[in-house]
Amino acid sequence: MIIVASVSAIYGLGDPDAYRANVLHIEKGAIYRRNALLRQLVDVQYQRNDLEVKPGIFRVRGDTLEVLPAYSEKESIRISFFGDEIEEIVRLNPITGEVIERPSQLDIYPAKHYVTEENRMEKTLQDIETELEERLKFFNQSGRLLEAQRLEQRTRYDLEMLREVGSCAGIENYSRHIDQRAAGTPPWTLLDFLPSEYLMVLDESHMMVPQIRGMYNGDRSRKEVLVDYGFRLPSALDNRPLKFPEFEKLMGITLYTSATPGPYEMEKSQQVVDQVIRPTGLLDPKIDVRPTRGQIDDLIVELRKRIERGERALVTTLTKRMAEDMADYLLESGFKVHYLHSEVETFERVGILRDLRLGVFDVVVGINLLREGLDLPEVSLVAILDADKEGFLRSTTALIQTFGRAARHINGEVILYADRMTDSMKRAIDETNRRRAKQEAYNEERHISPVGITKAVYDITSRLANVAPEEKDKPRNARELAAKMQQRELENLLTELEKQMKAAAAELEFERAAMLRDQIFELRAIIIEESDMPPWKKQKALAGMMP
Amino acid sequence: MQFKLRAPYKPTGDQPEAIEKLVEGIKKGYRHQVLLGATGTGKTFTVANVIQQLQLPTLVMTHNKTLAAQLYAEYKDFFPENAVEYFVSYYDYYQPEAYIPRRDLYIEKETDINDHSPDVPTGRDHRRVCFSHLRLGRP
Repeated sequence: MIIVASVSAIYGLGDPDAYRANVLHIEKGAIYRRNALLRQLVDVQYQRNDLEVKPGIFRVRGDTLEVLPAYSEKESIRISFFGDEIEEIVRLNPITGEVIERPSQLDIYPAKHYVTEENRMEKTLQDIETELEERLKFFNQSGRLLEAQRLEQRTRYDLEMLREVGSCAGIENYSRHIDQRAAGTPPWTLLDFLPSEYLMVLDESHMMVPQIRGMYNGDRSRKEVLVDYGFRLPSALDNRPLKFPEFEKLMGITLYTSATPGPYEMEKSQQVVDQVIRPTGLLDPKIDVRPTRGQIDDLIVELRKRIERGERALVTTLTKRMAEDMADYLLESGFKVHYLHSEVETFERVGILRDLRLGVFDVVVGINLLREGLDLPEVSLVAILDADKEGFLRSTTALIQTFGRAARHINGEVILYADRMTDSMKRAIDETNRRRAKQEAYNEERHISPVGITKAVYDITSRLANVAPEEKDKPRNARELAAKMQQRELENLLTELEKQMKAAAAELEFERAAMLRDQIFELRAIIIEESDMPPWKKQKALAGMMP
Repeated sequence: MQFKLRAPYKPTGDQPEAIEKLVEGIKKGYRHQVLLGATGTGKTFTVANVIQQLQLPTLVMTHNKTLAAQLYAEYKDFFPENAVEYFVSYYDYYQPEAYIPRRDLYIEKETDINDHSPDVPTGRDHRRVCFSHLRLGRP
């Protein structure tokens, strides 16, 4: 089995996922180890019984497994195997044998879920109660009445919800009590469920490793404030991502893949395997360093050359201000140019990049060109301004990655505007030249001439481009057009607000973010109201979006 | 049931050597290895070949959800007969609960559950399916 995961793999499973994970999900045509399936049925409290027919049992006859769900007397589930493959799933009436349905997939719920969950919940509620009392005592003794009141109100409300409904908002904050874990112990994560011997691939490890490392601290500092001010019980600190050493203990046999591996993996690894030859024969770009004096004029000449050949270019600056000025200047000089904001959200960025591919724009100016979706086969020039200013985006790693943006074109070229050669530049250029030399030698030896990628199957932008709307729902008359226009405008506004909200939140301007959030909810309501959904759907949508 | 890699092409360039070195390394007991692959050299295909040769359950971790969706689609294509699961949770989309003492401002948790990725089928609790398949020992 192959699992593709984000950093969520190191987070606690939080909510009563512990239970949800016990649901057995089976699919027709899938391969399961049959014994594992039987063992799992026992684990979720089903009994093997080949004689009696009653809910909560299962039986095996030849290639057929029959499960009588604990929660329904009106059906039995018959699973037919062919070897280890599930050939058919049938829901049928256990008495008449009449077929109810032949589903392609099915969930089997635990037989005794309710009993065990209830017992456990009772214990959980007691533990939360005890912790609350202690904490209230602490706040009251130190004269922090506001915090005491805040905490009591919220926790009592949550306890009530847990008791009555079995869940509450932010239930993951009680996960230590729900899991019955000791204070300070790591949460259960996906990694705990993997077999003892497995292969771990850290994709783009130069980004992945720091991200894993940073998760715990960020989470901790935010939660400590919440605990200090009585928004959460101290046990909420145990609802957290893994600390890096905890993660290290759970790592499998690890492969780090990256064009620019970071210091951690370079130090840890027992072997570094080089892979620089492209199946297409394409070479790493040629690198040229030019003085900053007259750089704009020089850049314009270079851009014109590319555009005449029907190629595209990326320009990267160091500051937002400079990127904006540059974009304006190029625009005035008659270029079809777009400025890629750093806070542009994925979906909008995809639109801009699609337009770059289609030739709506010839040049995109931005600060960080390392973000996903920028592997565009039409780009033959990457221009890097202020290349000699040391900093994150001009580090060896960032430079090599940025050079890579021109590595999909036969005429790929990078121009660095700089007045001196920094160590980062030198290392990045040396590495790129090393790769290029190796690639050239390989091509020469085998008489390969590079082939440009005209349409890469897994080019993310081209695939995302397929989702591009517009064309499909062309309005049929003026009234529809007017309605559509308005709605589209509303939607644009909504996207814009969401973008601003996320940007505000990222800059810790939570007040502004909250204000924007309220506007977004209002706007969403209007959009739903004005849409042509059936009334029941409208109601459901409106209910679903309430905060 | 074994991992069966299906691809319309064979490893080329320095992929065959990279695959061999990585597999040999693991056989020698190396726990940590770096595949230093330039952009566009087919790192995913190399890793897929390593999986095929080692027949080990595999967890691929990636630093953002767009890449996760992309890799998920690629591995599904390489291993059409095997279980390829997607494990991305709401933690990847949300604005966490926070408090700013200086301004006495409390921000509730906000989840944006809209996933725009075209590569991942919707209407399915991927995390749960993933767990279930882990427990059921899907190869």
